[in-house]
Amino acid sequence: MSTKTVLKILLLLALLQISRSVGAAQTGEYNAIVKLVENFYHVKHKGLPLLARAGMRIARPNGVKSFKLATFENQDFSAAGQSDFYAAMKMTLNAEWRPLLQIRSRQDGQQTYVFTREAGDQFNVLVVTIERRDATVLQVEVAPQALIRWMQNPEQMSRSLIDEATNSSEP
Amino acid sequence: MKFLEDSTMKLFGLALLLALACATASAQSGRIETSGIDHLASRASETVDINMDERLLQMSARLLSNQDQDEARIRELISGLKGIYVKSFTFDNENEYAEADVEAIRSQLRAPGWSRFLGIHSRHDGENVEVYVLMENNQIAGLAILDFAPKEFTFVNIVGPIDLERLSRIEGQFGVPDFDLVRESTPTRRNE
Repeated sequence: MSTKTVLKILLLLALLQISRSVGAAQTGEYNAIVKLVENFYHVKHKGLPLLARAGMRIARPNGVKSFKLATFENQDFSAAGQSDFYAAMKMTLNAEWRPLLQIRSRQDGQQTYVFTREAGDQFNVLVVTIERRDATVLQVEVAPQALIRWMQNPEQMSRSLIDEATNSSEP
Repeated sequence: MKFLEDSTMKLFGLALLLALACATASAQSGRIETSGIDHLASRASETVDINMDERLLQMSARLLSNQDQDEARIRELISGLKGIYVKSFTFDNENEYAEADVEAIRSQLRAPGWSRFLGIHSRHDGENVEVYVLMENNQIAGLAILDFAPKEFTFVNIVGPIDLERLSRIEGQFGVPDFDLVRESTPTRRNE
């Protein structure tokens, strides 16, 4: 085997390793946020059945390339402070994630957090919504056109995307 | 000992100059520091915090199509903007924020370049709206809106070239509340 071929193989292996690490990091942070919700509020997320996941791939909301979803249903989210959770979330996510939107309502116990991160010519958007009895963690990869529409009306878009994702995930 | 005192004084002077330079640079960039009002979140019944920085705005704008009419319109609307930042607090009771909180923002808007463009006070509901613009080379380089009422405190900061006409097109989207400032600033309205 020539030196050139060995170098090519080594380069390919290195590229493969990089892409795997990037993929792991992307899933890693989503998983870390799901874990954070679990540990912070002492709750457990609901896994999606295989059929529902297949359904989600087909019924993807407009402009959304891929998404990961974790839902927490009928559990108690009133125990801990809202600002403490936001601080913990910022500590969990690396600096690439930028906070886009933060809504906290003490009256109805509702919290919505949206973070964005560049992913090549796409964007990753992480949406976390917490209500008194339910919560959702959603990470989507969106085209810039979809992100702009999101930014035009961040509060409404976040809610409708969560609704679409949770509805399409129901078996 | 004298040498130590001299060195300390020089270092103190340098630090002061650096701090002043940073403050001037911040004022010129058009971005207003809002961490001084973050503590209001703990007293507010509802908090909204929106951060759209230059990278996010310009990267998404750059990737928008010129062919699509709607995308081209949005691209034109946000082109050149370096940031849109909104902080809004709603309280259950009056007097949940102090004059010092308003002053934490207002004091930065007295920096060179900034000037108060519009002030509206409503005796009826106690609402105050103050609009400030940052001028650089005879062009608007930033805009700040301070809106406070007995149970509400909202601050909007748009960094980049923005005038009232452009603001009126942004109002109601990108997290910017609808102040209807174009109507408010027309002479007919003011004379009403």
